[in-house]
Amino acid sequence: MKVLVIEDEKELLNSISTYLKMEGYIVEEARDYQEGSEKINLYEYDCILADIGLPDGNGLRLVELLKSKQSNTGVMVISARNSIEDKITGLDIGADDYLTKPFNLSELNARIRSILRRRKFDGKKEIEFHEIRTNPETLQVFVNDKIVLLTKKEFDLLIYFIANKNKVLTKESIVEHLWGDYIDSADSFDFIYAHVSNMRKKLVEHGATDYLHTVYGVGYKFTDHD
Amino acid sequence: MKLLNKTNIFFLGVSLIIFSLGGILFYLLFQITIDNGINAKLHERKEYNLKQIVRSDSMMLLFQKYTDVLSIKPVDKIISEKENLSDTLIYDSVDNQFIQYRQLSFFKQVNGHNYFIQVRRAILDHTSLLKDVFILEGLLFLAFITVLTIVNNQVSKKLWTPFYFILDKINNYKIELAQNLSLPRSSINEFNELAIAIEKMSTKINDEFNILKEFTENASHEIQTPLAIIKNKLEILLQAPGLSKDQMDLISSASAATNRLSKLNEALIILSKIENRQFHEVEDISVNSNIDRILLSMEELIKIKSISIERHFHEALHIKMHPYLAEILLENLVINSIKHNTTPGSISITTDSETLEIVNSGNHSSGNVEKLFQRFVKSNPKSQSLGLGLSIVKAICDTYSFNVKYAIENGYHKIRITFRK
Repeated sequence: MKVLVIEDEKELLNSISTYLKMEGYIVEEARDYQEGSEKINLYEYDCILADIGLPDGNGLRLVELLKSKQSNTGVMVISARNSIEDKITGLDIGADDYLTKPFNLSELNARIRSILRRRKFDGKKEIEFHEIRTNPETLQVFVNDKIVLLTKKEFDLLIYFIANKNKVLTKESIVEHLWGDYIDSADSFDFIYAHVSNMRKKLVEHGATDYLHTVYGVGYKFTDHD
Repeated sequence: MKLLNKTNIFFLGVSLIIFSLGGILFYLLFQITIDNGINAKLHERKEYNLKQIVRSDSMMLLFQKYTDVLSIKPVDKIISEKENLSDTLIYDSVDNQFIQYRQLSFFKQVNGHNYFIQVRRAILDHTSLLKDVFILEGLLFLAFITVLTIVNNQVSKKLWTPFYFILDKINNYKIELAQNLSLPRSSINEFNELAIAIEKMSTKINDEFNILKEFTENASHEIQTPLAIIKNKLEILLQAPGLSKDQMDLISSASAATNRLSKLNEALIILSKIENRQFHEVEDISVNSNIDRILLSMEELIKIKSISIERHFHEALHIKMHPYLAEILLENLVINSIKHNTTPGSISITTDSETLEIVNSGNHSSGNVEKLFQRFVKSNPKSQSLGLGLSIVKAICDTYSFNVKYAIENGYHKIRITFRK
């Protein structure tokens, strides 16, 4: 999977590409509009990440440029401004998703996976992790081909864990993933705990290995290594 | 009080004084002129009568009939050489009333005989003169005031038209629309100066407002970027192999604090945007369906907390506001009622055509509930929440002149928003 990250802030660019490389992506970097447009013109990508506020141009123009050349490439727009106008324009010109800085890398990763999954018309749309198989379109989960009934939030949680497998996920990032901006994370850890333990219980009851490890005081880690 | 009425009253007062003084002067002048006239006439009369007396028979004079204009009395000797002017009343049998006369009395020796002679002339009495003068003055005054008021009103209306136009423009001026005021010029210098001054002021206000707006946005950008860097670096650090429990705890605490800071920053930016009235787009929002949507997204949380929900949507409630603000407002209210609820608990949501009321069970909080609308005030000081939720609710309500009331009664928290006055 080839991803182009266009971000003018060096440290942010670094973090994003480090995390994505850990996830196994081939990451290319562009620091400004100029470089971004050159790379879009020269190479093909599975997904691009474009910051709106570039020093020499608007990242949304890059999205338009990309859409005119490689219409099947996934697009994630990132912005420092939580502005609905930008969001609407971004989605209107063909971006698949929109994230506001600061975001969690685990969230970014989960969303890129979801974009790629939706863009991959030929491939399978199911997500597999050993004996666990999920279908994000039908919201179904199977353990050893037996269906497990999860609630919507439990399902989201599972997808999020699988997308960020082998990573330590903080409780804050989980709250944000499940409820977005409007809930103060600190008040919501009990809910996270309830959701996580329900999901875990259902999977284990259906014969799945307990991949979920509690990282005390921090959060959780979904992993098949010990 | 209108300026026009003020000037009218002022004119009225001044003309009252002028007319009173004028009346008095007029009366005095009138009186003096008449007096002088009468006195001169009396003296003419005296000369005329004396000539007659000299010419006539002295015996005839003795029998001269006493008349109301002349009386001649023979006397033994001349008491005084001086003439004496005086006023007297003489009964008039025809009119059956006393009439005022001016008389000139003097002693005179004619043909060796001494006489006391009085010549008289009827004069108008002072009261009737006074009356006439004042009636005239009064009529003049009324006429003057009426004409003055009519003219003044008409002229003022015409003259003040540009002023009211400017006033109307200022009243309808909306700073968040960032338009410069352009006011028409009139033929009156003062109003032109006012228009120019106001235009200059509006340009300045706009500039300042834009600077402030840009500052807010830039501040958000500038703060969020380093926060994003810290947050992401910590996230990567957390994945490093072989971290001890203590190290993880340190990273996790730093990460939580960064998270909190970024939420705080976001909330403050939203607040300042609301207070700077930067959301002026308006859409028709259905409160009931939005509440349904939010409750659905919180369904599992509600289940976990064993909260029972009652919905009383008596009527469709539609409000005109910015969709993003509507979302923030309603999510804040509904999520608050879930978050600050007891386990198990209850929420009752009631709407009619103009009010929304959310009542939820909660802790027995005391103190000033209105204070919760202030920034950083929390009902539970130990809570990790930012204490900005209700401030945002209040700011949104203030923007749209919605009335919001919050009360805690017997462990039930009640928030009520009236969307129309």
